[in-house]
Amino acid sequence: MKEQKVLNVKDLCVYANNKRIVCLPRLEIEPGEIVLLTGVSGSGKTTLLRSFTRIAVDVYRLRVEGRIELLGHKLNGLSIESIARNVWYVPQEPWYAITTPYPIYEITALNRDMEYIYRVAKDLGIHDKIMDATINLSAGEVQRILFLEALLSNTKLVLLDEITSYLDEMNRSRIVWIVKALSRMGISTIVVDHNLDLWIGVATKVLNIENGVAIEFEDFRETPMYSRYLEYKKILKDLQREFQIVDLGKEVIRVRDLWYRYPDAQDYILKDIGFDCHEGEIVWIKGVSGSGKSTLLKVLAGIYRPSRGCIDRPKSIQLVPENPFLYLSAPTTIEELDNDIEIAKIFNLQHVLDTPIMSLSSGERKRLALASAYRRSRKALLVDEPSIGLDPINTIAIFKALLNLVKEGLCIVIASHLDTLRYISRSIVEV
Amino acid sequence: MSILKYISILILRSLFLYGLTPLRKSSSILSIVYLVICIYIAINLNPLLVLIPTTIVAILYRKFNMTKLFLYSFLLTSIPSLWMSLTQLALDIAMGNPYSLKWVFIYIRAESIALNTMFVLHTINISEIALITYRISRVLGISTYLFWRALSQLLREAIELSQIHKLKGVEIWRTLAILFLRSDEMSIQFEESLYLKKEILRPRTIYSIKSIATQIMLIALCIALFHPYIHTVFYTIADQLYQFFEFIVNYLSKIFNWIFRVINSYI
Repeated sequence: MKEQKVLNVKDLCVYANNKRIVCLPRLEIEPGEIVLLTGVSGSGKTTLLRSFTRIAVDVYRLRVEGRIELLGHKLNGLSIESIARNVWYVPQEPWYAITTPYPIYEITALNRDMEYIYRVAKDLGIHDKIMDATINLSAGEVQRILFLEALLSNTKLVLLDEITSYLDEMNRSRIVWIVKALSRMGISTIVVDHNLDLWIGVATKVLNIENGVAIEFEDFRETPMYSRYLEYKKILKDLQREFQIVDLGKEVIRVRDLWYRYPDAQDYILKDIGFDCHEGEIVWIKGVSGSGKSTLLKVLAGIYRPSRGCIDRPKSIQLVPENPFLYLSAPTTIEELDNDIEIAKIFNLQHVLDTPIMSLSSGERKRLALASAYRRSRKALLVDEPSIGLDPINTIAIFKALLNLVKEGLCIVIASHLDTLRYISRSIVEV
Repeated sequence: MSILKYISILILRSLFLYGLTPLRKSSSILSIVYLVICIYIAINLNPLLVLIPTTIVAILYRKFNMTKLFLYSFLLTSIPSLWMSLTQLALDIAMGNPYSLKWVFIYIRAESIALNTMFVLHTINISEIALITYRISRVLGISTYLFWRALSQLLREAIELSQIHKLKGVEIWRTLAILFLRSDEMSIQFEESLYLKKEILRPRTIYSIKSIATQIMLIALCIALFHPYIHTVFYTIADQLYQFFEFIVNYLSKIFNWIFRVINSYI
């Protein structure tokens, strides 16, 4: 007997205010298939995933036309409960994906077998985190817990929207390994990811969105996104050369024998940190998720007082957080930049000058926060995960903006777990 | 700006400092029963009596390695308690009765009630409350979880916003405006996360027998305080303590009066 398709989509189009966002002419997913969904930021990848769960219609009020069948039933005819029993959706923004104050409440709602939960959690390296308060988890830890939930959900289709963006190399490999294990169990997965290398030989199908249309490819090397990805790697190498030839000026930040412990913790999270940052230099604070990178930035900014050691820093120092929205304080781009069009041009923001900050894409928000921080400090910037969750084009845009800043003589300290930072940094501090 | 930041930090740490501690695996119903008895003792009996369960509570915080939580709660609850007691002190001084100890009793009463309320908040089993409310209505059950989750997230973002905006030199009203925008965005993202999850998210209780036994012991202790014998013994001790305090306060006031007279004579 022929096996039933997990997802069968035909002539799907999603519209917002009668404007077409994305179309998918055809997609058939068999049990155990792994589909990689790629495309530039804003191309409609997340919208497609949302339309497979009816979130696009019921939460975002988008118009979805075409046929979507889940396990042989029309999606519109199914109750939300039946969709929930068969589809597990992990959204892009990890912070809000756990909806209970302690992750264990959500986890036990899916499976009561604590021994099994601990065993799977141990495979993901988060067995000691599931009893923590959700608020105290790092983004990488939340993403791994969400993946644990996906494993425990017992659904037929798992939708993962940029599940690896906040993870370090080791945890990314773990996720890929488990997705393959899911596939062997007959569970299908649709993954949205900018890191194409990770899914080589793993994805059985590739959907590439280009000009608002998602086209299916057997091999992702044939996709336009892949050629862009190769070009991106070449640009990164060119940028690396440009960053290396910037002349270093005098010392701007000086850190010696820095130790820090949270007021409520037993152990020090930062131990014996020491480095200098000069004019025209980028210092990369490298470490796995939850290792204290963001904490170090806050200590450098003067938000936290070090337990031991000394820091010399300029008074005007600015901190751009992981979520750039938290840096912004004006309703539109132009107001945030105090009508400084020149800075808007440096950061390639001239086309969104009158756009409300709420309507900016994540890449634009990051560039705007950097531009605004640069307006306030011409000496030193502290930036937390500047390129996380961004596609190659937006990552290059951010790196080019940073190059302009170091050429102006800025000292920039960046905290990130992403390996791409090695192309732009002059020195590395491991935490 | 810093007031907003420090109050947010204090509330966040007072409620969400630790993970799912053993005390959070107790019974919420027993916690509420304990609190009601405590409030009754503090209001209707001698307020000094309520110091006994409050001391036990402090020991429990220590035993379960949550001393910092007790400290933060103490700081947080001291704000209304001191406010009330100092108002009484000011009133007593204005009425020409500066040596009255009424303000001390008001402080003890308010602080004990507030500390025990915080203890109940720290030990309340959210999964049990969610299960009870879920039985009433599914939406209510999910909302119980979401309330605690969203509250902690909003407080955390408020702290981070105020820290970053302080560096940036932004006015407080702008910070608050961004916080409102953030909460709007947050609600949509929680809605998206819950859209499918709410269908299968059925609250399940997590209990610890040790914690429930501790609660029963606390309630038994409170009930024992109603016994006439304990009552009489405690009243005798309290009465003597009261006389002792009165003696100390009078003695101190005489010393202060003497110091003031000496200073005045020099001026």
